[in-house]
Amino acid sequence: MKTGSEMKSIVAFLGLLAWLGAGCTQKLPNHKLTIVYTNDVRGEFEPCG
Amino acid sequence: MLCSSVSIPENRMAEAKARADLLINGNRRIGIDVLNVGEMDFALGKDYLLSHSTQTTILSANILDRSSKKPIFQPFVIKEISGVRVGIFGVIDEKLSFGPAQGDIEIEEAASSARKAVADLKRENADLIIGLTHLNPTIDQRLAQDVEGIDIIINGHSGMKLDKPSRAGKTVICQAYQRGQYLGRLDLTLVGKPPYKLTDATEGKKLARGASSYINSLIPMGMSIKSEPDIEKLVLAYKDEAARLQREMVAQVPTTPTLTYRGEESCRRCHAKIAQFQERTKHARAFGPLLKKNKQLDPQCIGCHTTGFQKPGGFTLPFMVGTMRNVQCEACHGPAMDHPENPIARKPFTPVTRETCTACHTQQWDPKFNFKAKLPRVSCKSVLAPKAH
Repeated sequence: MKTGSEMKSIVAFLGLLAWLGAGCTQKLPNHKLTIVYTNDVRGEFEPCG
Repeated sequence: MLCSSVSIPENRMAEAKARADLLINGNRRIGIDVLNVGEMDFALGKDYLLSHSTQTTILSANILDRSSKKPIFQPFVIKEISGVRVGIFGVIDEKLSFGPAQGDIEIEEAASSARKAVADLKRENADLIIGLTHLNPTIDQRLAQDVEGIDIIINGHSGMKLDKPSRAGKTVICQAYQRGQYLGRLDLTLVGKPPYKLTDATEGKKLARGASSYINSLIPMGMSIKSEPDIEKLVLAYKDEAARLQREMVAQVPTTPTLTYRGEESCRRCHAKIAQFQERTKHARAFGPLLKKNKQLDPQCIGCHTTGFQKPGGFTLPFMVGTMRNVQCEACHGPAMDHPENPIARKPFTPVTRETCTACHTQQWDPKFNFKAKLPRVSCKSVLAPKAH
């Protein structure tokens, strides 16, 4: 049988676990973007060989 | 780059401007957000670039006006993309030569300007910082190590092809080869809040929770890609203008031919066997591809597909090619001058070396060229000696 003080510790501990669990499952911001780049465009290009 | 060299002869200025207009207007139509300048872009002068900078965002953090000491272009820009504030700055190697434009501008040390730009971008709450650099790869590496906070470098000078970006610490360094032959695509997944630690998602390792990642690919701009009609119209308009400018120049040039380059017919009279051998080589058909692709007036192509173009004693404008089409004897052996009339007294033949061939078969235009393997296919040595004079 648990005493009042032991129950408080367990509740506090369970509360801490719940808080930690919420932090772990919280969704992180997520951004997707695409960068398109090129170099030295001089007009038409086709290889000679 | 808008131009092919840092300085342009006066008689080629109008054609160079028409080409540069095509490139910068074409870039704008394509929807390019920002451009970083190279040294050759100044060949038409600082004012030419400035006139376009109101409609196209041209960046440079370290090109300053010589009088005012202030940047002549925007040092950086911030773009909001998919909820991310992307800060972009541009720098160029301060040791490059700018040709005639050098008098108007001063180039600050790239690293010092980059450091200022990054600090400004952080103050403006940029989440991701990209440096567009016109530096050689070693300097890129050093820049990434010396300047804290650059997430990505996109290099536009060294002309390397990096399918897999290189790394310098936390910085990802990209390069899409040269002459617009590839389009680079960097797909980013940014997780959490900045600063983002970028990991290559193609390495096969399981990404840590909360890790940001990238996938880079280089897309070849080959003939299978259809031309965009509006851009094609711009290109055709430029070709018409280039042809018109050349006809104007031709009208001003004296038409008396020189006797320096004589053409293959004058060689054939005595060197018939060699001429017959050469007719069967690709050199003898070098001009055909230019006609097929409507590039017979393109000064960048003509030199290697004809004989004597802009060489002392040779023809000076593409329009004047006449009988000098294809790679003839004199292209490799030098101008015949009056050798047909004085064959013993004048033997002008220049020995063929590797450099004779690699002047045209460059790494850029013919990356697979093998001198030892290809020389026997065009060498005259295996053919019988000429008839007695």
